[in-house]
Amino acid sequence: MVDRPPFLGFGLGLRPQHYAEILDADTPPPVDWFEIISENYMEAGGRPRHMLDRVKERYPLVMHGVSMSIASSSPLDRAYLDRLKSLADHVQPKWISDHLCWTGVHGINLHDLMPVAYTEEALTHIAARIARVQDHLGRRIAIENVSSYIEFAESEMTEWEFVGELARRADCWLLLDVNNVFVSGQNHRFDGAEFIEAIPTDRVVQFHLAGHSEGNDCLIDTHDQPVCDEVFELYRRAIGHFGPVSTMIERDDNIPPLSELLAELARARQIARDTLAPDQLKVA
Amino acid sequence: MARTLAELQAALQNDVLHRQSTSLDSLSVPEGTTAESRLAVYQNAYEIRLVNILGEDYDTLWSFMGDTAFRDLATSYLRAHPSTSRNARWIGHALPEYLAGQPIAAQIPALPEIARLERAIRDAFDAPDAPVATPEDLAAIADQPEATVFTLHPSLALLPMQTNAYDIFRALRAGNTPPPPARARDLRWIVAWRRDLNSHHAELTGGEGPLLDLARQGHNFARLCEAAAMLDEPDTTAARMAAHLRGWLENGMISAMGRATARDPA
Repeated sequence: MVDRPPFLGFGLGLRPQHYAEILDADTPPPVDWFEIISENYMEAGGRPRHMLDRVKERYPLVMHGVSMSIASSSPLDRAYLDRLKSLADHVQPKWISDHLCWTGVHGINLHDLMPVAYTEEALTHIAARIARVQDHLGRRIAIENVSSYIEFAESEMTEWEFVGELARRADCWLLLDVNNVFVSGQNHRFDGAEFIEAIPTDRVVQFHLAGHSEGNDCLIDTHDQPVCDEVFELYRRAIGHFGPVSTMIERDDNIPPLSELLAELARARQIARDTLAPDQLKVA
Repeated sequence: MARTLAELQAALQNDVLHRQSTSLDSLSVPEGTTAESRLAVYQNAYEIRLVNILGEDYDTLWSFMGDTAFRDLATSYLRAHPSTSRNARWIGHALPEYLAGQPIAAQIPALPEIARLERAIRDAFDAPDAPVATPEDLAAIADQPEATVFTLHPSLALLPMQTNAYDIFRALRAGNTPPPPARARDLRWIVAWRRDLNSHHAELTGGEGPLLDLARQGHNFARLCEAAAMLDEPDTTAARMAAHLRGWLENGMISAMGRATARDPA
C-alpha cells in the first residue's frame, strides 16, 4: 500500500480561452484546481508563462504532458525531461502525468498517443523507463490509459492487467481517463466496469472525464464534446471503487464558455456526493 | 511471426506517415470492422491534425492561397519535414524556407514572405522574456556613442521584403480584399516583436530598417549615425537618429544599451 497524494477536489484543464474568466471575475469560478498541458508552458516567456504564474498564485496545479513517449522503443529524451523538471521546479505541481503510449520512434513525432501491445517485453521496457523518469524528476509520476482504435495480435494480456501490473512494477501513480476506458471498451468490445474494477485502488490519483465523437466504425477520442451520460455512469462506478480521487473535465477542442464546463464539473461533484460520504470529499 | 516492440512501432509509424499497410498482420480488431479502417483512424488523424496546426500558424497564408493550394503545400511539406519536435508549435518552423524553394514561390514571391512574417509574429508570442530599455536610459549613452551598442529584444525579428507581402498580410488580417501580389520597388523592412505580452508588427520606413538591422548586428551607435548620414541629408542625421531611437525605446524593441563587448563587429 502506498500513500496517495491528497484529494484536490474537482478541477479543469487550464485553457487560454478561459484566462479572463478565471482571473478577472469578481467571484472566482468554483474550480478547486487546474491541470496544465506541460508542453504549452515550456517556452521561455511571454503570455503563457505570465498567465501561468497568475493562476499558480490562486490554485493548486497539476502538470499533464503529451510527449514523454514513455512506451517508445527509442531512447528517452533527456533534454525534454530536463525542461519538464525545470517547469515542475517553477510550477510546484501536486503531481506530473503523461500517457501510456508512444508518440514516435527514430526522431519522428506523430503528435498522437499511439497504443502499445500488451506484452511482457513492453511491460519490462516501460516499467524501467518510468523508473528512470521518476529518478530524474525526483518524484512518482502518474501514467494515463489512452483511447485506442486497434489492438495487437502480439498482446499477451488485457489492457487492465497491463496497466495494473505496470503501476506495481514501476511504482508509479495512475491517471484513469474514464472516457478512454469507455471509448476503448466500445472499440474493442470490453466492459469498462471490468477494466475499472481490475485497477489497484491505491495507485489512482486522478480521473479525466472527457467527450468523444463517433467515427465510421469506432468511437474517437476527440475531447471536443461534452462528457456523455455513459461516461458519467462509468465515473460513478469508478469513484465508488476508488473512493475520493481528484476529478477533472478535459476539453481540448471546440472549447465552450467556462460556464458549460463548470456545469459538467457540477455533475461530477453531484455523482461523487451521491456515491461517497461527505467527510470523504473534504479537500486536503 | 510476432513483432518485437521496436518492430511494431517502426511498422506502425511508417504506415501512419506514408499511408501504407505493412503493420496489418499485427493489428487485431473486432468482428464487423477491418484493420484497414481502424489504421486509417490514425492515418487520417495525423494528416488532419498536422495540417490544421500549420493552418493555425499560417492562417493568412492559408486565406491567400485558398484551401486546396494550402493543403497541397502543407501535406507536401509534412512529407518532406515530418515533425521531429515534441511541441506541435514547432511543426511549421521550416515552412517559410520550404515554400521559398517551391515552384509556386517563383511565380508568387510574396508567398514565402507572408509565411516568414506569420512565423515571426508567432515566435514573438512566447520568445524569452527580457528587460526593456527606456528613454531615460538614453542619458547613459549620450557621451559615448563609439562605445554604445544595442541588445534588441529577443522577440524581435526584422524582415527585409522584396514584395508587397506586408500589404497583402494587413489587408487579409483586416478582413479586406488583398492587393494582387507584386514586387516592391525598393526593399521594405517589416519588424515583428512582442510588447506588453502582445505580438506586434510594423513597417519601418525612412531608412529606419537598415539602421535597426545594423543595431541588431551589434554595430555601435556612432556607426549607426554614419550610416544615417549617408541615407539622407547629413544635417538631419541627429534629429532622425533621435526619433528612431525614441521609437525603438518607446516600442520596447531594445532590451539594453551599453558598452560594446567582444560581440561588437565594429
